[in-house]
Amino acid sequence: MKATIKLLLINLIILTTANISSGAEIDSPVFRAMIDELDRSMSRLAIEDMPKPYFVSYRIQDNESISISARYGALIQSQREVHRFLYIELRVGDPSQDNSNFIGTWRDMYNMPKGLVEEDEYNSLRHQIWLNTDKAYKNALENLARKKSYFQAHPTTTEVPDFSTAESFVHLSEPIILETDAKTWETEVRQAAEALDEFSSLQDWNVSYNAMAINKRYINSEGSQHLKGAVYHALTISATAQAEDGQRLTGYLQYLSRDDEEPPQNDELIGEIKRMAADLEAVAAAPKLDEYAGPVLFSDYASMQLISQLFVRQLSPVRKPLASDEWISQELKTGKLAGRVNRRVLPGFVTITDEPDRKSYLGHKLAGYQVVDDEGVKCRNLTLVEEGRLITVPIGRLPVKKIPISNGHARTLYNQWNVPGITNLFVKPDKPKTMKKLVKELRSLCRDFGNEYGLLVKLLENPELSSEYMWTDMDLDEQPMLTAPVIMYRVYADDGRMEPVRGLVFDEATIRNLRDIVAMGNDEQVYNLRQPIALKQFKYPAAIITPSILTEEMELKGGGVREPLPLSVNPFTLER
Amino acid sequence: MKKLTRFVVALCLFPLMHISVLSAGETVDILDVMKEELNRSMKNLADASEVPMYYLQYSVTEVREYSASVTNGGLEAPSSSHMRYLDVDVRVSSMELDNTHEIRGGGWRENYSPRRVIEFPMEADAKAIKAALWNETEYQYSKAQERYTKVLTNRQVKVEEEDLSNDFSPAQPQQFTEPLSFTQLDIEKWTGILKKVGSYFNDFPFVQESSVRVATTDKTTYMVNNEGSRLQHSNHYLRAGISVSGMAEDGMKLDRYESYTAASAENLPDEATLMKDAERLVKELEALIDAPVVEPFIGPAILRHRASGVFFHEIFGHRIEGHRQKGSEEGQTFTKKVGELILPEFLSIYDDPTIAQFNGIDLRGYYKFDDEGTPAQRVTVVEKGILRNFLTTRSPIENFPESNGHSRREYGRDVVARQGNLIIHSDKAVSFEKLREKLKEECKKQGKPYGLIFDDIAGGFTMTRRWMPQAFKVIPLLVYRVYADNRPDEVVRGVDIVGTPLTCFSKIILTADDDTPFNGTCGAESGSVPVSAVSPSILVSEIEIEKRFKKQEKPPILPPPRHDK
Repeated sequence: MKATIKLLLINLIILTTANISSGAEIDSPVFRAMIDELDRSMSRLAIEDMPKPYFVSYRIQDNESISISARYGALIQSQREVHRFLYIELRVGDPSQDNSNFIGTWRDMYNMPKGLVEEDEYNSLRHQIWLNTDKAYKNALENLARKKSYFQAHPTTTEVPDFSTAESFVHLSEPIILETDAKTWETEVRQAAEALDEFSSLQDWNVSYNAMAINKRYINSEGSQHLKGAVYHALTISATAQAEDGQRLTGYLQYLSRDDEEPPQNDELIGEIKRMAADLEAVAAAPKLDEYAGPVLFSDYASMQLISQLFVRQLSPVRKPLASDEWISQELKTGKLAGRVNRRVLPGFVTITDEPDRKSYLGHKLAGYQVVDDEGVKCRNLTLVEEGRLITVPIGRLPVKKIPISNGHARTLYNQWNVPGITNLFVKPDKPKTMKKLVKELRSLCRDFGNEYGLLVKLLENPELSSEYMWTDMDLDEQPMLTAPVIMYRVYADDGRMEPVRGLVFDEATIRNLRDIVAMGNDEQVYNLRQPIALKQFKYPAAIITPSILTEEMELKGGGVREPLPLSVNPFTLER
Repeated sequence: MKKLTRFVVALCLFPLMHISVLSAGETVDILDVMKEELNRSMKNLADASEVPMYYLQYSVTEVREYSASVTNGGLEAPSSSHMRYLDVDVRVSSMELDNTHEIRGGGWRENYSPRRVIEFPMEADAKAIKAALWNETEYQYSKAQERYTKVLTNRQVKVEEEDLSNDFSPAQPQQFTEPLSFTQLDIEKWTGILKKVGSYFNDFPFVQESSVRVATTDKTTYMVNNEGSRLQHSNHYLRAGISVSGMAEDGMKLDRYESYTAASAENLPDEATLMKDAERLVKELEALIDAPVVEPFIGPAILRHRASGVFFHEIFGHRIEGHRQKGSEEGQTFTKKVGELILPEFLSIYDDPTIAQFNGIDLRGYYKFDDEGTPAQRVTVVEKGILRNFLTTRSPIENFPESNGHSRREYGRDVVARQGNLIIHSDKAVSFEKLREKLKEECKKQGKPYGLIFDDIAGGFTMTRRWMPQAFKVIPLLVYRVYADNRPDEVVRGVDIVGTPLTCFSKIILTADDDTPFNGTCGAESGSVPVSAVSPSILVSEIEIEKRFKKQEKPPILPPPRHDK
């Protein structure tokens, strides 16, 4: 063991001394290989009588991660990984019409980045960049030809170009280093899993911790360069229980923190876990409702989930790519809010801003902080919603009619698509109310509706986590716009008493429900999350800062997955 | 060089850290815990439903892996992992008919679709281990009951089956435990070797991609069942490999590779061997790039020993796997030919997973117990050309009621019969030089200007189902044209071997005495399993080759950066 510790110290010393300054970084083998091959590609990469590239960018992304997970009370994995990926964007044609924003074959949907050698070896890196650029160029030429023939068959007036102009921007920060202590987190993860031992109705539970340091090195043929890095720590605790009718309920806690701020640990974490488990047990033992229509108060994690799923997820993609095949076209979705600029989308008392330049808020580092976006454009703060009206949307260099220029919000997904996304989103009501007043207003609305009770929702389902426990297959691509409540209470209108309830799913919630928001709390909290977009299951790190939210009316119906109950007793129950 | 050293030291830490963490504190016997929970499950579930559970097996596969490589001259970060995976096998009703019975018309999804992969506790926490076993037992029990209902209906609505043998056979309980041992690889030494050999290719502009790698896998299986079996056994799989690829002017991608298999670090090749093979591979690649493309052809050929091993594994071996004699959709090439001459009289074939080495080379198909806990056994499949037996599991086939220890799977899959070490033995063997001469004689006899020597084969596939052509395709990597008029041999490219099994076996006329093992990994219904095939070079009077699919890519437009002066 001593030898291991000694080697660990050597490792940390090596990594620390490797933290070279930004000036030196641009002369590093990685950047030199990118720059030299980009120069050569722009000047000499050409097939006779075919267009040359008019734009090339390279991103080399280094991921170093620690993944630790436990099931029941024991570790099932503790692993460290290092990966390096190459992202290439190569455009032929011209900005008004190029090879981009067109899905010529199904392979374009899953154009994953290429793995590179992790050694900072100039010649090897350049060799791999060369081979991949050659393929990217030939694919770009073919895709442009497919796109042109598509337009011949489907005459369209294209008013909006494929690529907007942008000022070049240079931002070279220090490479970031993963300094997380795996040993400490093995103990934390194990203890977190052990904390659930005492809850007799839980059938299965998992704890996972992943720390990932990401360094992105970027250059493009317009002179933009950046090196940006961040460490993301993701901690997830999930547990499953079944109600007596077999309904499966999966409760969870999810934390995402950034850089030197790690997720909660020790007693703070254990306390949160026990609260989550107690809530889950209570809901599993609660009466089942068949339907509901009336006011719903979203608090805690559910308030963020409401904003994330109904508002943020529907902001992008802003423009649907054209596709050669109809079946591909049907797979592609755009955000339902993307086309509603200048229209009322929320009540007049709500303002929403996106502030990439905020490093922290309420004592927490914000996951969405960044200076430059993934297309090398300087990030700008945005007012997205003012007095309930959608003013603008986050956008990258793929313009839309009403927003012709990038506001520095492009995110590169794992299939190398650039899609606009939020950074740090702040939801701000004009007249925030205390939780007590929100509950009072909920009860008042119930009386107006003639309802005996209203609903308070604290946690919505996370289908990815639920599916891990389900015996039946779940299609993660076909999820409702707003996922089902997990931790939910009915609040009686007459005396305000609260009882856990279960068994309801939202009946076709849409972005229109946002306009039915009638009040918000003064209890804003920072929620760092991996924000999904309205396209497959891609996600990106962001922060949503929101208070509790009261909606005037929502409709819910009976639902939830029912599975056979166990025939024998969980060994944990026997031990208790 | 300084930069390299830092990189290597930093990354070499990972496997060491990782193993020290998860091996700590192993204080309970995992087999005891598994047995205890298995007894509890049998007590609770055996008669919990109308259809009784009569068999329960718990298998935990522990896998420690490490790999390192150099690609295009640069080091890739080494990767290591250490995981345990759980398989729970439940059988309900009775050995005569149970939930594993084929659902005819159900296709792949109903009969062979992968089960879920269950990650299992790495630590000596009895409660956590029992809970994971309990959870999966409840799931598999429920699925077994569901499937049995479908089996009963399927039997009612379909015609009577041809093979009415039972679904499971009795077996003697087995008990075996061996001490745990782990591969000790000198990572620093190997990193240096990989870097040195991997850098060799940098000098050759026609080498588009190159890779040199080393990988180790330590696999331990823990297994208990309700019949009293209790097993713990391990295998060590080490591999090294070199691969280079380039492109001909017509866009055909060409590969050359060499792989080495061992069961311990000391049996891996040394640096000099790797370098010598690297030099040879570069020469072969250069020759292939300039080689002519062969047109479709039928004529005499030699399959060199390892190529012949792949040939027999694909074309013969898969067709003598037990479940293929029973499956209603299977072609059943040999099912009714027991006791008949199916190969030339000078050939005998046996599968013997109990052999750990052949001529000093470690065999990947070696194991002590199969995945149903049956001891590995040598099976004489063909004796002097006559079919005698099949490779069987505990699922009987007509006239072969017992397992001969060939039930194999990758974790997360259902077991089926698979090959281990397939050994082809010839009573009619000459030196390889004589075999070459015989090839030329055969060309002259048939009036062919040349024959072919298949020196190396990438692999292949065979189709055994009735609803598709029951043919095979084998993908050669290095082929020589041998002229009958004694012109020098010529490297050729762009061909695949195709054919149907019964025809091709009748064309084998002679073998060499150069029996050599081929070590590989075979993928089939039950996942990927390590296998070996030992064969001499064989001369066939007639083989058919067809044009290979090739992409239509042009070679790269710009020269490699290293060579762009």
